[in-house]
Amino acid sequence: MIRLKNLNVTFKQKKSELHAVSDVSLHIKKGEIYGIAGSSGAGKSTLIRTINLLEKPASGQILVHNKNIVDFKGKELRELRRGIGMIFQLFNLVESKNVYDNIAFPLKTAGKTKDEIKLRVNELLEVVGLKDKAQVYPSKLSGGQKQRVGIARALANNAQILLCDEPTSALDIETTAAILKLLRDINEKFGITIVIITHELEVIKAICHRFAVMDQGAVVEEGLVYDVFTKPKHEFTKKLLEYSSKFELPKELIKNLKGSVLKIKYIGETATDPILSQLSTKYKVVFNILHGKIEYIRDLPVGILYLNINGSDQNISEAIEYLKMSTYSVEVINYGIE
Amino acid sequence: MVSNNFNLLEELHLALYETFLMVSVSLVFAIIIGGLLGLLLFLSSNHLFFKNKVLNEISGSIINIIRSIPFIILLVLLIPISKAVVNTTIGPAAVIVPLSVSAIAFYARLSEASFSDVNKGVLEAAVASGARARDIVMGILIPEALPQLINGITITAISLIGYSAMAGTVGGGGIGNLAIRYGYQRYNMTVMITSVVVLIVIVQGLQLIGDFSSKSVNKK
Repeated sequence: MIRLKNLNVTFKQKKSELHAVSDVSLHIKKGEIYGIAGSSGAGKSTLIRTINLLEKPASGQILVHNKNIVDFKGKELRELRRGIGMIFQLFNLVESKNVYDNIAFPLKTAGKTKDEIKLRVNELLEVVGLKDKAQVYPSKLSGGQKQRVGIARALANNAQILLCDEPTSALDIETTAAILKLLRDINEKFGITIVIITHELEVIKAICHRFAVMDQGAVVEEGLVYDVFTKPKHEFTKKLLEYSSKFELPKELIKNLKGSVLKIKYIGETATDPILSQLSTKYKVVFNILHGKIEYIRDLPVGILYLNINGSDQNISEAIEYLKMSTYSVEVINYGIE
Repeated sequence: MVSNNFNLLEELHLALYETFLMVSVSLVFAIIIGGLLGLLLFLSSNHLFFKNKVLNEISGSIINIIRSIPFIILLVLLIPISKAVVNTTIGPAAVIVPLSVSAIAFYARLSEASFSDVNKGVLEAAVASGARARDIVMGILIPEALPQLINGITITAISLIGYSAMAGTVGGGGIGNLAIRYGYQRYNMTVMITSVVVLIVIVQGLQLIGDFSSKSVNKK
């Protein structure tokens, strides 16, 4: 669907050149939700804006529907853009137009008739759940409602690709969840390919199938969201993931504990197995949960658990063996014997 | 002293008419030509449209030159052009030429600023939707800038009333000129105060109408 090949974007500054995107190659498949994560200034925004040529690359290829669009101009470019919707962090709605006219504008400029426009706008208002707000001006809408209008507007001309530039960064947690759900629905119902850039890893976890991590203009890691989150390879990715889920035990606490302290990571199906109850019945160890959480990547669970176990030497080592077999990883933080 | 056959009401009536003529005609030119120039300045400075540094700087410099010339000098400088355009060098018609030139330059800058104030993101969203530049200008840029454009018109109209007082130099007449001729030069307090009061009322009225119109199109 979208293929970026050795893409470079540079900005001329007073004396030097800023390399905003350097040698990025990506393949975004039809019908997937593809995320691009990274800290601010990593070049994510510049990268996504090349896909509809809001930013022109210095070199490289951008293939959309197998056509290199880098040199598209005039009518060809406008037609391409009609097929690629875009939503923005600050919504970018036209304040002087009501909701209806905001959504109608791209239809009007595409030369649709009044009846066609009316039909399509009402259809879109239904999709985004704003049927009763057609005549309202943007200033009277909440952030979430504004983004819904943005989504409706972006899809007006039956776009097959939706580019999302930090779509939830200006929204609160609850509204973020609702907007993400809407994007996921759109993806599933209409098969629209979604590219989403964000600095919030929660967004990636919630809806993306695959994602890329960007640092200083380059893609440092890419893959299925679940894989990258559970087995990050690149140092920057590890750091990024760590920031997002600061999850460590205080060192003092570990020092003062009796027995062994284990950090268990379990992913996928095993996350829901009754592993812990097996520990006490089968291996005769007593355990205490020090800290733990389960989070969901799209719909798959990933759990991290800090356990303090006590028992005989024999039992503990057997219990650890059992845990190693039935979970993703076991890290022995403190091996203590009573 | 004022001659006996001086009729304040009649003089005022004529002066009002002259002021109205000078200000309204120049204002129309300012809105149309100045507005277009402002649009040109904005479009040629913005990479979303047709950024053109040369065009932008040339038109910008011309406007700056006009704006740096004191109006009374412009009035005299443009006499030959007035002669060519309206075939007279005196009276309200002759003053309309320099007034318009000055107001066009003034409003060009004001409207350029109004266009620049429009949220770039909104314009970018329109570009990203595949709209052509003409549709974006007509459908988004102008409606979004409209409250500010109207404020600019109010400011221009009020400045024009001020400038038109100098029209007396070439026999243009008008209320400001009435105040200068009778009030300032002949110490006729009645005429001066009356003229000034009339000017205050006009300016206040214009500001009120301008604010109201700007507010009524503002959906923010």
